[in-house]
Amino acid sequence: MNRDLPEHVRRDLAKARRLEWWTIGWMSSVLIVMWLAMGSSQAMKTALVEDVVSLIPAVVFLVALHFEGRKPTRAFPFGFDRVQSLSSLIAAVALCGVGTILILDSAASLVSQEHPTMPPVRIMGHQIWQGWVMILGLLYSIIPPVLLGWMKQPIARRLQDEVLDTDAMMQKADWMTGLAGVFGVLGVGFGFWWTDAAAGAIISISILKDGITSLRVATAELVDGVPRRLGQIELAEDARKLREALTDLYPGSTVRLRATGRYIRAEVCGPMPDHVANRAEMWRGSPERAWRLAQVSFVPERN
Amino acid sequence: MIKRHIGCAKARARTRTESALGSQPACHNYGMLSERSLEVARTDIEPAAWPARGGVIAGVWKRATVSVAALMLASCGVLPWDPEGTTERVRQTKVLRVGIVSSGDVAPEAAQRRLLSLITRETGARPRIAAGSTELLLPLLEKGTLDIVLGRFAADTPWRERVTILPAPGEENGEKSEPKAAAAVRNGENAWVAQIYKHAPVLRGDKH
Repeated sequence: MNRDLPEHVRRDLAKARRLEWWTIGWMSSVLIVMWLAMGSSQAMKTALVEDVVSLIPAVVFLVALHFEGRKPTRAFPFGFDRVQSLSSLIAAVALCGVGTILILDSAASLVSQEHPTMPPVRIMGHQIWQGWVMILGLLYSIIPPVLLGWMKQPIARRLQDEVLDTDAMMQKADWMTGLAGVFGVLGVGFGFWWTDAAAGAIISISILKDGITSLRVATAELVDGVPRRLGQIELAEDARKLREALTDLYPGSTVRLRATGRYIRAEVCGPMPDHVANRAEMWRGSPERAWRLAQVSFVPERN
Repeated sequence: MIKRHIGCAKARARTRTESALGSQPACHNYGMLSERSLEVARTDIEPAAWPARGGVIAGVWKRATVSVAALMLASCGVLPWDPEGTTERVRQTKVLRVGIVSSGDVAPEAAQRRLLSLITRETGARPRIAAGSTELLLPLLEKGTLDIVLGRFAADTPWRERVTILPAPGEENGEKSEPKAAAAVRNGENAWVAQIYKHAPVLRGDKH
């Protein structure tokens, strides 16, 4: 099968690459701002670990994209499509990691009834409550992930890119944590010591849920499961239509589909066909997405 | 709960006037603290009505931004409050429960007296002093039986996780394990922490 990607997919890939570089740049700036706003407290260390982990999907996306374009070699005769599957697993683990770190941290604070101390800070001769500085930092930390996540999601859908999708979820996790942090700090300001930890705990449950879904999708891909819908456990519509088409074209055969990265590979197991259909005949989904069908193999049935 | 907090905000507005007026008769003498009476006008500060900005150009957005900014500015002085109400209790009971780290001698040092006098002037509370070892006093502070503990703390003391030490250790250079004069307050009592933060530098002999 022809693996040359159509122009619009190439454009989307280039855009995704740019967005991921932007992500690394912006999120690093958020990291620095939060460091300045929060000082060297224990809470800050946890936030720092979380922020560094949240950069992992963006990094593995760029690594995967770098390998994905390579031609098959003698050592890797099937090419490098599956680097993407591997990356999506790493990204999913990172997302679960962020959720877990947050859950443990919030739970520990709640159980030990830790009353967060936010002393004033001196800025240009004025004594200001640290909470206000933290809120400003948190508000800044919300803006980049909201924009980046919002720009990534449609591209991830078009490219069928699990890594990019997981990364968009990571950005959702980032801005939700930021927003929860604003309410948490305000709550602490009003004398409720538990608001910060409680807000963190609620958000972390939602992050962990996203992480586990991504993990299940990535695992399904690595153990040759049927192609899934992006970021979901259900089977993909593209795959269902392809399977129907192949069953119609080659009656009496067993059709097996699997996802290798963003591509779909099909195996038709049965009597050898006299005529091999072209891609247009097999692909009944949107023609825009026909590039996803990377290979159809015919396997003779064992007698 | 909310009511308690609104009351707290009002009390705070009142005491701001007090401290503004009260700062005129300076009283640095420790011995005078107990006799000092509070004769200050108590005026409730009414929240000033924010002038509405009408007109076509000044749209809803602008008005929203202005009011959010005003709200934040207004609440700058109001927040933070204490979860366990230390500030409120000191003001109401007029008793400041002080722990002084010493082996026997109850009398505070000169710098400590200066700090206590600054706090008493602001809160109108009289210090009730208990002396003892760090190990005895800091757990009491942690539990809320004391409001403030004065002593010498190293920048790397393990206690810094359990109580808040002011001036914050590590803010100035020097040997980490060398104990320096400081005040310890209960963790999380952010309004009280802010109040002590303001005055704590006098312990290091800084001009106030």
